[in-house]
Amino acid sequence: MSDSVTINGVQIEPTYAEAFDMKATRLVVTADDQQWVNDAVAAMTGFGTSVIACGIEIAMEQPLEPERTPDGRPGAAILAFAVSSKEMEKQITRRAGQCVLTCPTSALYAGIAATTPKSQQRIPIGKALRYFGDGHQISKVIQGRRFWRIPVMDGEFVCDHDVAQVDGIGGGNIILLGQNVDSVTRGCRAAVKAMRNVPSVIMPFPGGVTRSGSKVGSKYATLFASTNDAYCPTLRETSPASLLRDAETVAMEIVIDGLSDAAIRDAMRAGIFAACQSNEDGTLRRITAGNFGGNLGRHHYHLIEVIG
Amino acid sequence: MNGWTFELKPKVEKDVDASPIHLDTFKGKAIDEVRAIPLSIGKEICSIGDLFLVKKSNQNNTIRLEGDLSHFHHIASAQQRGQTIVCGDVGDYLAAPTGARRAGMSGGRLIVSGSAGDAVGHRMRRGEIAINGSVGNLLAAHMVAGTIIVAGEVGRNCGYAMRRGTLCLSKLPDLCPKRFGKPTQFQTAFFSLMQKQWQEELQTLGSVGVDLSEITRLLDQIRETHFASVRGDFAVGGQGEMIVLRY
Repeated sequence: MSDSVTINGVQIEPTYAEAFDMKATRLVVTADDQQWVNDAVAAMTGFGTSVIACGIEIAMEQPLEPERTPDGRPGAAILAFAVSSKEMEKQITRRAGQCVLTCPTSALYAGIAATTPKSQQRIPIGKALRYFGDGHQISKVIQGRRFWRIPVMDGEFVCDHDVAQVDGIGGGNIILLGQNVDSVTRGCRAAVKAMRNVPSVIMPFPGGVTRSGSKVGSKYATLFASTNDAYCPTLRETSPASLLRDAETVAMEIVIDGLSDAAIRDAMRAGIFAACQSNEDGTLRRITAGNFGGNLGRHHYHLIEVIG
Repeated sequence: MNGWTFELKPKVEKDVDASPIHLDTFKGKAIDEVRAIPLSIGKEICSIGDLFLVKKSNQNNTIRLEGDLSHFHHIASAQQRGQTIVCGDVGDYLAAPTGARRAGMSGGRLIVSGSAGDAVGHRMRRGEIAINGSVGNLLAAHMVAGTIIVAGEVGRNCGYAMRRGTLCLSKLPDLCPKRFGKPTQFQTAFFSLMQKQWQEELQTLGSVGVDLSEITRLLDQIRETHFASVRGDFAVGGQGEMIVLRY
């Protein structure tokens, strides 16, 4: 095992993040103005932090300028990750219908480039939502791509027929530990800001950060995840599994889902360096990562390798 | 590779049934076999090679026709895919079915840089047609679905018995008020989407000498200004739409 590395007073642990194969897709939301885009995206990505209870991990990937959207209006790209095709289909169809179709002036497009031959794994969008048109919906094929125009009270809701589902990776992570909430918050925010510049990844938790990292299993039979007691400061003395060191009183985790191995590595690297740079007063002490001994996920991101 | 260019040799004054000019007919054929395909001209039969200089092109699934084809009828009558580009005028029954067939063009894209005759898009079922010039009577009669863009003038009985499909026109044609509704304004992202999807194609074609400036202008105006939609033909329970700029 490599030795730890210290950057700007922050120790990078010689450990690894363990991530899993997931199903993924990208959607593009557009609207007449940026405010409607933001509203549609907020609704679409709401309650989508973790597959543990939300069924999906979904967040805005990046805002899109009008030149980069299919209809030349302001927009945003959304990435979604689920554990199965069935769950992905259920979640995307429901969210598209209740969160984007309902948002004034919005339109919803596939964000995964078409392949030849066409990908067989498709998630229905207009294919399912068209029935809301009650027979007045209009189908249009432009350059081999089918769109639906569904009459609504502000005009028309336009959307793609379906979107391709691709393989993705969920559960890349880094855990920041420090002496106080301020230093770890500052480090996490700097890291998330840097990670958001990396394409093809999302950090699905609030602000990109979670303070309730979990471990597999629980003393309660009905729960399959419970608090990660190894990093809970209140359990430092009572939990034999505690991994906190003397000066560490706060831990926060950034979870990363991405469309490729390289995207997750890039995001982790950007996040680690940005967090270390934010350590102005030396109170951010350590960056580590969560894993399950390597037995559950086939993607392992060793922090020392990631930072190169 | 199934791409072909046909340059009209002499000016043709007799009516020609151009329905055999079709990608599926040419598939897997050598250039001499394509030249030998028969065409009806007036009451006579000639071959494609008698009327056209035939060349293979590197644009797959594309037929390019060049010259004054205003006596060539039933062009793209059975088109199901690919692209037909006509540099010049065309005759009647563009994309309309031949004989007793129930459906005309059923896929792909058809672009005409000049004008077209009567019955364009008759019984058209799917696909896109863009005409840079004007069209004659009975545009989109009995149209089933698809999209037709006409940048110039439109003749009488436009949209007669159309059931579905979209026409994009520069101005509202004369319509029977019992068969079509009043022009209605509404907002949609669709025509911005359509304009953007067409833009690249139109620019590419413009760069190789196909004049589509009027179509480009019409699509830009539909995107940027208020347009109105007219629905019909109610006489056949149709839900077709005409998107018009001036009404």
